[in-house]
Amino acid sequence: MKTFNTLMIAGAAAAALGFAQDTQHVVVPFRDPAAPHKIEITLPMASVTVRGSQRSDVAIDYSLSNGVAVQRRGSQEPPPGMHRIGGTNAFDVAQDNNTIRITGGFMGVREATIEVPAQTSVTISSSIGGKVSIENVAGEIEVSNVNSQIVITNASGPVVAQSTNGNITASISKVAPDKNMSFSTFNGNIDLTLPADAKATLKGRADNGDIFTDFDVKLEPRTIQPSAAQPAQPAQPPQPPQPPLPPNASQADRDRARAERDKARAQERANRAKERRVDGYVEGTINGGGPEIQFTTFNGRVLIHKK
Amino acid sequence: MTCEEIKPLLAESWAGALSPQDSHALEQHLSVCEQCRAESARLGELWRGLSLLPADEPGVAVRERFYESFSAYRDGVLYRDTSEHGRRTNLRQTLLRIAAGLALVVGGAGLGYGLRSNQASAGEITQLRSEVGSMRQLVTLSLMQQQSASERLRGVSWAYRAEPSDTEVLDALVAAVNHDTNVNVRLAAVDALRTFGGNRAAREAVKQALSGETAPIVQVALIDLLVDLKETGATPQLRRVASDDAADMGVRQRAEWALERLQ
Repeated sequence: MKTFNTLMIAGAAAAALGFAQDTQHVVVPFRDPAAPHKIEITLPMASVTVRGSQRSDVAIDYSLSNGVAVQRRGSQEPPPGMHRIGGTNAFDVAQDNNTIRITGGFMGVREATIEVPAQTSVTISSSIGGKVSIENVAGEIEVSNVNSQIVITNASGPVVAQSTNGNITASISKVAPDKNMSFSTFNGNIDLTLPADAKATLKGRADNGDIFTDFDVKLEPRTIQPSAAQPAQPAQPPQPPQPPLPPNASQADRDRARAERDKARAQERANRAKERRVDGYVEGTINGGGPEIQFTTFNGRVLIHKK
Repeated sequence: MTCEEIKPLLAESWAGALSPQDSHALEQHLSVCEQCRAESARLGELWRGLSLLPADEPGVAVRERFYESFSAYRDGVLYRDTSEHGRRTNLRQTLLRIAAGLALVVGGAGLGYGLRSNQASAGEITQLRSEVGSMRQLVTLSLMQQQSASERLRGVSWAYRAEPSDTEVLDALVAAVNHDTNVNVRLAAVDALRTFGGNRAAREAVKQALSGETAPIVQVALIDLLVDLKETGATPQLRRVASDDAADMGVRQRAEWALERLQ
């Protein structure tokens, strides 16, 4: 696979001129707009907006953060007769096999708004940047981030979204019959809107929160072993330690004390075994069932709205 | 219509090539015949499984090879056609091809007749069942290789239908739990491993995965699974998580709770 078209964006030059905060504009055509195409965005510190549109190429508007990294490196023109094949840059766009990759250094892009053809598959990874918004995209969406919220509006392709601390809000306008979706966040909430007639199998859990919906969900018992939900409280408070036997206690007293201890322990074990774990997963179908839509949060809550 | 007459209609109905009358006849028969309904459901699943298999995209090399062989073929044809001898050879080859074609038709008909007479024997049903099993395996494994996370998730959902003895599906799930780049796919694969809870290798894999996992939501899922499987051998891994300063507080508490449960 050969790298087809590598563009180096002159962010460095802009920074040197003192226009670091200004918005830059780049347009990149797909090598074959008629074939399936994809865009992969890895911008660790940026707020990213991706918008599906009528266009057949990719238009990128971006601004650099105060140009720290850029100024440090300066603008490096390739030596005569050479071209760049790697390294780090504040902002790079490369194309390989009809996939356009947009990458930025750690202190590179602060904000990016990217317009793509609606049928593009979009993959975004922005670890500690700002909000990630994806609008009107009909291709597959795969998005992951650590700290900030993910907002997906009018998606008509499958969505797989994940955040560690951020909320995930997704409004899906079409659920394809053979595509799975999944949403997970550890500390955030999940707010999902599906078409009223969506056929799907909902499956998920919210360990320390609630799951609400206005859909008519036909709950299904899970056929596999029950799993954990809330950490169950110990059935009995720990027994206070037995007062030590007086040094002059007889052998019979000692035996009796030991037998009582053993009995208490056996009872405790039996109690533990009897505790039924509440199954943390909820599984159910809407409109007769369909592809699986999973949602998982540990500390947040889940809302599933009917549109 | 008899069951024998219905069977050919099933395949045509999945392919969407059934006339309205035949379709009506099929529906009527299925509504009264338990056996055919069951067979239709089973084979229908197989059929839909087949349609799930992604089409292979030809690579660049295939295209090049195609044009190479195409031009070689064209050169050959041009060369042969220049001589009278060549034309005679062509005629003989054509006759040979027709003869071979006829032989195939006769052989195929004979084979078909032979198979028909044995239909619905118990052995065949067992074979069919194992074929459905391996088809499920194929669909699962093939989907789990896909680039798209949505497709891989679909592969994981197929894994629930695998036999608990299917080690290839188990291996694929273990690989996904340990190496899939997408957190949601890893999370789904952890839950699917429950099906294989009785398997020693599956339990070991869950323990190992806990050591390598950094996403808190997957860590919690792994800890819960260890407790559900009553995997008392997981104490060292759980202790490590419980005392890991880098781990999320919720995860550490969950590990402590698990240690208590597994004592």
